[in-house]
Amino acid sequence: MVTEQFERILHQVEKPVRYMGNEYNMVEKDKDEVLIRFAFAFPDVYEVGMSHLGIKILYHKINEREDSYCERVFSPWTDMEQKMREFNMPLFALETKDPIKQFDMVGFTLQYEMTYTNVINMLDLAQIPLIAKERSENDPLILAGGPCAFNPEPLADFLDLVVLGDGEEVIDELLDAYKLNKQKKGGRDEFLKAASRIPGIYVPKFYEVDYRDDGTINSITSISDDIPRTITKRLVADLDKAYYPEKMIVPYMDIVHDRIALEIFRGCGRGCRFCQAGIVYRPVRERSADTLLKSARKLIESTGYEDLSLVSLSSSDYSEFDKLLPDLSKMLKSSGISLSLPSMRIDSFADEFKDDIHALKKSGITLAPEAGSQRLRDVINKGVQGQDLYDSVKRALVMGIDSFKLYFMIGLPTEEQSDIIGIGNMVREVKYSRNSLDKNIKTANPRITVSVASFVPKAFTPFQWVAQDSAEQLKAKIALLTTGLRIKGVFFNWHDPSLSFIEAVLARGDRRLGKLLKRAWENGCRFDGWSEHFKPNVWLNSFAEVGVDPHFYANRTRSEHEIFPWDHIDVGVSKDFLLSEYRKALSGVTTPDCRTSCSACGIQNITKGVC
Amino acid sequence: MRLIAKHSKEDRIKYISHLDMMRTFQRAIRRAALPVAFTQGFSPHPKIAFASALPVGLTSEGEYLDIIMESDIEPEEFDARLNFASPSGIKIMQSAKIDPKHPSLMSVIERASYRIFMPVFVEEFAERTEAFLNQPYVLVTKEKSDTMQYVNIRPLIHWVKLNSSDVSEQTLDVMLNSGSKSNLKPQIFADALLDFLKVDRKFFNHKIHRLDMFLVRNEKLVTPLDLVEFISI
Repeated sequence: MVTEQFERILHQVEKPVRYMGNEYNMVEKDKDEVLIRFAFAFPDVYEVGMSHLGIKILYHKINEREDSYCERVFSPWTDMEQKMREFNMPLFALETKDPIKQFDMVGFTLQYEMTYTNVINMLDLAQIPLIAKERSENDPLILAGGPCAFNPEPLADFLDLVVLGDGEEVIDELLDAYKLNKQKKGGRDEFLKAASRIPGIYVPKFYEVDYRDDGTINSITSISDDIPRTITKRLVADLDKAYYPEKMIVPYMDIVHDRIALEIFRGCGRGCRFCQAGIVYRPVRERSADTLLKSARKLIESTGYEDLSLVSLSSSDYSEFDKLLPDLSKMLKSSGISLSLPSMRIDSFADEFKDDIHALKKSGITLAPEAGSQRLRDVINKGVQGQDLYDSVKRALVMGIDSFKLYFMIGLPTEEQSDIIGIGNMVREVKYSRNSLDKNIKTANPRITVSVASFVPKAFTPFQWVAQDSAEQLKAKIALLTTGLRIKGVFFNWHDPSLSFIEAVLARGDRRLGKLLKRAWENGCRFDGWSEHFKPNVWLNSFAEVGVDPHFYANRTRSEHEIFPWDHIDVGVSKDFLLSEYRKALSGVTTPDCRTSCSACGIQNITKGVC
Repeated sequence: MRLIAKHSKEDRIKYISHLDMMRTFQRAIRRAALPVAFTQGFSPHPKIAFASALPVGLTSEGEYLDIIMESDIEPEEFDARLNFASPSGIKIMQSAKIDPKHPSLMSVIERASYRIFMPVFVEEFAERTEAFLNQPYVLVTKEKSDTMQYVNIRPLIHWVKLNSSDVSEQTLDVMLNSGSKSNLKPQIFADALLDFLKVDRKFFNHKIHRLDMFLVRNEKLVTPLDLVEFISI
């Protein structure tokens, strides 16, 4: 409900469109006609959240149901938060402007660890009790999903239930169970019991964690025999037949990815050892070129967007590229729509697409060699040769593309000084690569941006056992790089190692971090992923105040036998496989792409033998 | 072929900026598959222009869009198709063909009329508003680089008309200079009036509604749609 007060507040904040709703293709329903009111919550600001593919799929999927109304809620920016607190205005959903505390369910998507304080802040702004156990029958159920939900333990205190895996696969079962329970006049706990029996649904409070004296975990047990001991993720087996929205909300304001998103496949078979998405989204599942062309046609008509992008973890690995691209680019050209291709892999950047990739001339090419030496690239299983990189750059230069972004990581396992120096050498090689080209071919002097991130070991990766470099070590490596990258025409930027440190703590955290998160939030932390809001010292003080040692989580090498906080969660890929990958990494042995040769990662236990 | 289209911007979308409004129309035009002419080049855009930017937070029933068409279309069909493809909160009220050689609407608009909603009930509203207008000067401050300047806005105010004045809602209509030659933002006028009336501005939502815009033709004020009658196509 829009009130005078709401109007007054909107006049006083930056970008009021963030809170306005009413975009084209927004779903409008009579809220009194539905049984279930669901708020899809994204713990970041509107323009980030609206760019996310999951919300586009689940929003329309839930709204296909006549008994449910899915609305959206984002993290209010700090100026809005201040006004909401000043006027005691509860957090509301964009569609009806009703407070989300009146809803049946609030589902957060966890895309990034540094949004966790925003989750707590949104609950507080919504005037919903923060701790799951303190919520009553009238409070909404607080859900979480998304990639970080595979280790939801740091947020376990705050969540009623967690959805593991592909949301579109399980959401209907969950809503049906909720509806049934509501019709039977069942209570909150009865529903949670019923939900915990749905495969892929994890109810944290039904599990107990026991710790050893050294702080590691002794056991994780379910509190009763009717609660499953492990929870297995859900996955859409046939993505080609899976739901894909025919409409997408078209925001008024400029959002981060303001275009049609066409998901071409899910999962990735490359097996880069640092990459959590590459493990938790296995196996690779594609949509057929025919299905994608139909989707594209409908989305072009229903949105009016001027851009379309292909979305996946590694778009150039799509097996029907040759079939899709000619027809898609013909369709786009006739409608005056441009195509953007993210995540272009350097080793498959092919000449035959050059006519279709005009956009690259404007946006440039992003290449991610990740490490500065072949030895280290083999350790992380980044199946890319240096020469491939230089060849792609030369091809791109000949095509008239002159802007390149190069992504590297520092702090990778087994990294030595020579690997860091190797980054500078690679960048120099790229910068001067046109010198080896035929002098008659006109090429521009390439402009290069080098982005360096600090490696963050994540749960469910072969590197889940390793210690992160200390922030001091990482800073020293950045200093070394700064010297090595003092090259004219090369712009160097890096991620703040103190941010990567907190991210590493949360990525492999356990339930004991709940009180830390609450304290950090109480001490003013929010929007930690935004450099202007990240307060490293407040985080460090919060650790001290609650008596949690962050180094235990970030900078400790785990023994091969350690029980991890996420061991009761089964993503399909086995811990044994991850361990064997870890050992292979340490001896520099690579593993082929699983679409070339199966390495028996364990996912077939879920897919019943099909990949 | 060139069309001008009169449209509204309603309450629920009043916070959209001028730039976002432009993008919104570009996308609505694509959805409606209207034969609008596109710019050449890498990312083609429909050839459309607004007659005047509406400040963020204001509603309107008198906005105008200037559109170059690729091929002929009847204005009625244009209205129907664009309305179907527009977000709720934008309504195309009427469009008409205009001489393609006529200068852009943006360059000829000279005035605009607004309705201003008073935030609180003002006693002796009519008398005090008249006193406001009877001042020889209405000075407002204007920030210019480092210095503050005083500007007399009185000559930019053409008339003020009081509407119903019951306790529930007091409104007044006003005609102000608008356009590229001389422009007075209605918020500045409203702030000056409220200060004069000693109304605390912190209660003011800037609830202002644009009624229409005007240009001068044969020494008479006409709306852009009236132009159609003056120019034979």
